[in-house]
Amino acid sequence: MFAYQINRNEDEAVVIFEGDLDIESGEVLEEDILPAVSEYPNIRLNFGEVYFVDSSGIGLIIRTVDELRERGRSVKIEHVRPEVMEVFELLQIREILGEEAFD
Amino acid sequence: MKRTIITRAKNPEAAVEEALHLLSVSRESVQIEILEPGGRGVLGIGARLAVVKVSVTEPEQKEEDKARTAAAVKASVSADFSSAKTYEKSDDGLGGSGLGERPTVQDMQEGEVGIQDGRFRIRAPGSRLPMLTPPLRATLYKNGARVEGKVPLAPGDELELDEEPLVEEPVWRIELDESLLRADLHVRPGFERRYKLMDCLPQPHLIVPVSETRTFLPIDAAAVRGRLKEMGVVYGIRGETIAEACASEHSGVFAVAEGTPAEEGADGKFETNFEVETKRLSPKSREDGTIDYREVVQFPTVAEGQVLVRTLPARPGRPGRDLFDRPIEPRPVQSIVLAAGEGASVTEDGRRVVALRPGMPKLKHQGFRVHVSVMPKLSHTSDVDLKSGNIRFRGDVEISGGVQNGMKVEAFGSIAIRGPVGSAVIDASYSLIASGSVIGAQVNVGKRNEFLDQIEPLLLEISVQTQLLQSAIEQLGRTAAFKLNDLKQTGLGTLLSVLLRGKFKGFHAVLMRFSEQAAKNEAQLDEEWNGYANRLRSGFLDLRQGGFRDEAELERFRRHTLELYESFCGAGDQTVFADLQYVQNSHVYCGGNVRAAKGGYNSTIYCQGALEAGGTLRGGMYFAAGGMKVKEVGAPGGAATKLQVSETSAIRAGRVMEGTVVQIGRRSFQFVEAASNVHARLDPSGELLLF
Repeated sequence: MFAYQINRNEDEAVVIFEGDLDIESGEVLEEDILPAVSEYPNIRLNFGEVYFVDSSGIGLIIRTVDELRERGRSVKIEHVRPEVMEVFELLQIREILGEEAFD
Repeated sequence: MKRTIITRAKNPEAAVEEALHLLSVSRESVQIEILEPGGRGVLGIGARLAVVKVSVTEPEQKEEDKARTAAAVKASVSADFSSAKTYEKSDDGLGGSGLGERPTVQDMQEGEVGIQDGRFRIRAPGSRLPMLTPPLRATLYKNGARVEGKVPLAPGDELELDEEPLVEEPVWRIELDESLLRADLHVRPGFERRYKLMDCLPQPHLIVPVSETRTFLPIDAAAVRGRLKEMGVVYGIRGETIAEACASEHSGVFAVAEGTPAEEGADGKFETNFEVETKRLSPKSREDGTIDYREVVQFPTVAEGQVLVRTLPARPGRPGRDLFDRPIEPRPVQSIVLAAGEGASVTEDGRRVVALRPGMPKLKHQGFRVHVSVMPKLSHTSDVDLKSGNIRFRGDVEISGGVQNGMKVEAFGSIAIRGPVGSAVIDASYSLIASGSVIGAQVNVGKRNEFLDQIEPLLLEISVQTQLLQSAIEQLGRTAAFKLNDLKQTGLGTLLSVLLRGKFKGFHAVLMRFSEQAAKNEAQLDEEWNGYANRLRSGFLDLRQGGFRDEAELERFRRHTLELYESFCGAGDQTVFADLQYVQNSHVYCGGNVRAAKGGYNSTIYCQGALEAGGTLRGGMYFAAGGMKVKEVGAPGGAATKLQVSETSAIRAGRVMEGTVVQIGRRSFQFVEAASNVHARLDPSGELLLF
């Protein structure tokens, strides 16, 4: 199960994920979400309703953040649940994406 | 006939002991009278000796005595004291001698108290009352009240010795040692003590003499056994020791139960079937100056099919039993694990390693792992020339001829050349023995293959990091929010790419370095190396195929890495040296010691060890980190010669010609005239000393 919702402002898009960020939902991220938000200078990814991740999902998040940054966008990941944060810590996602993504 | 003796000693007890000794009787069969209790006097001056009279009682009287004593314990005081005098008269005449100081009855102006026939006799004619001190252990009542200290007595006082036996129960406890192999019974025996008054002459201050009868109270062995059972001790109980402990009249510790400790086994061992060490015998010169090669035994060699290593099986220990009847396992024993590298094979039973080819055996022993390989040996039976081509060999090379101009000999091992070497390139990883002259050559010894040099530490790092990676993946699998399903579909690649970007960034750099080195040297690497490098790339770096499929594959890779690492026979177990004769117009580098038996001319020798020149070094530049010993250096008015060593080393030269430069560390000196027996070195303050 994976769903998402995008709240758009003038210069900001907030993507609210719902469900597992895994190999299946990764496609949605790449094909639907990325084009929809890529024009906004500020993008926030709300992980508040993400309960499970797998390595493919994490790989895609990293790739998405990289791509958006290449286009000069600012990306932030927010409201990560503690159990998911534990995985992030083990994989040192903070070091990969930089502290600024987690303010 | 009544045997009676009177003795004196510093106290009544000692006097009685003496008397018993003289009479050779036991205390039970005598009657004791204390005639004079003795005393310390004032400040130890005028100490009086105690005097006792000891009489042997007749056996039948003994019984009578006992009965009478029992009846007379409640000793009532008699006002009639005259009977006390009968003591003196019945002393068989022995009392008169030596007892002169004793006050006579008539002298007793002050009150006196004595004991006769187990009864107290108080006499207090004057105004001074006799004093009494109760016995130390027994209880004495005066008019029904317990006497605690020194008290005065008045005629008519009722004195009574408590006849009730004093019971001191035995005390014991059981202690188990930590390993539960021994139960110790700590025992303090119990006794029942009875006290009886002893007769004693009247005196102004009576310390009531009593005799003590002690009855031993044994410990209940059943109680001891019960306690052991309660504690759970069921194995190794020693009944006879319990009985001995329970009947012991002395305090002590008895091991009442003992377990059986485990019998330790022995780890597996191995024995080798070849010379493990490279022998460093120098070739012997014959009288005529030629070399006797038969004496050169430099490298151990093995034949094809030779058993190289044989393991001796581990001998397991035997389990023991603790006091709770639980088995005690002996330390597990380790067996030797054999691993074969190139040129060797482990037999099916895993207990022997056999050489698959003739060559030089190499053995690596780490813990319980023994890795054996056989380096091939190439024997070239003629000159190395245009006809034979250059020699490049992964192993040892032996050339029975010489090496001609423009040729190249390279060995990942050692090289022995019996003939002369022209302007050729000689590269040996471990050692070089050149029995002919070396003229115009470029010689490298101990400069190992650059690739292998760089790769060795990388391999170790890769195996360590792979293991850390494995435990990181395992740890991730234990977190609640991480799903592993996708790894089954895609392989470990997606996860590895995240890990190598984050936590294992450093590992990624190591892998890249390895990959680059392997690519650069691809042409000269063998199949095994190239296969390994490809696996590393497709597993970690080029993840298009998904990387390693699962953890088992990762583990296989790690093992392979370790095996490759082990198969390295680093310079550590091989000595690097160059053994040369005459060196001319050549350039020699050596990682170890160099010997130029007949000297050198116009050459450059650079060695990390020591340099020894048996002839003259005439012209050229010679450096030895470990110091040098030269027979003669320089030429009269000839070519410039320079000797150099590190600052902690020294140069010894039998004869130095003018113009020669010696340098120790940064200090150098040029000899303006010839000198002999030079010993150049730096003193502790850094000054250059020449002799």
